[in-house]
Amino acid sequence: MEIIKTQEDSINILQPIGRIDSNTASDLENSLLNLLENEENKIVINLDSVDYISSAGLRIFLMAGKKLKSLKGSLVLTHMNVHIKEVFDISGFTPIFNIARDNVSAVKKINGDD
Amino acid sequence: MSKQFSVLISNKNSEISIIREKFESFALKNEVEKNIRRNIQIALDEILSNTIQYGYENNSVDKIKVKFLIDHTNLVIEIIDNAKTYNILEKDDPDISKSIEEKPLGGLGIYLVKNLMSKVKYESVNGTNHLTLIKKLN
Repeated sequence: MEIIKTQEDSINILQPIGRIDSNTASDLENSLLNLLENEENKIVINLDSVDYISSAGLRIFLMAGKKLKSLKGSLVLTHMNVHIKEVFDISGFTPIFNIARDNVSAVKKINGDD
Repeated sequence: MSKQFSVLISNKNSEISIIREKFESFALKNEVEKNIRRNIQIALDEILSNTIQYGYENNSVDKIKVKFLIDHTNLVIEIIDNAKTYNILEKDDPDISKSIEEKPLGGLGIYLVKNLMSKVKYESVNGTNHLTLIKKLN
């Protein structure tokens, strides 16, 4: 899948395009592992262009969330549509992830201004 | 009036996209709303990837049949395969209240299917798995 990568100060923003399912989840996994290998520990995933997420995608979010927690890094998810929110609610993911409305508030959260 | 069609795929991950695309065009033609289409795409991805990954020994080649039926009230999907007998309804639900450190990686797929569909039925018929997913349309 296509993933747009941008950087703002020391914060890396990933914007995957399309669906995150058993076929595409490994692309997101590779992008995240690549950042973690380079000690980039402040990550925002912008879900604005993601249609839906299956359990293969949830697994990648959980993997990244666990790693960044143990590294004392940050992971913030933004622009979640109602459908992704429903899947997060069912899975018990809503309370364990840092979720922001947009990238500006995500950057504020990471920088501790919020 | 009801409309139906069925698709036969090989038990390969790359074939899941055939089902996804055929379902999407069938659902669009029948004016199924977006969130229902998304829920069904997730359910199809979960069930088919699970069956293909765990259901067959020694990479044996087989076919999986998926039937779709739509009427005024329901969308019904039947998945028929010759994989190992597996009743997803017997699988225990995960404990979703666990913390991020305690949560296991994986194990959410079947649980999502059960929660996103209105009803799930399973029957083993002469060694074949018949899984029926029912989604109410309104």
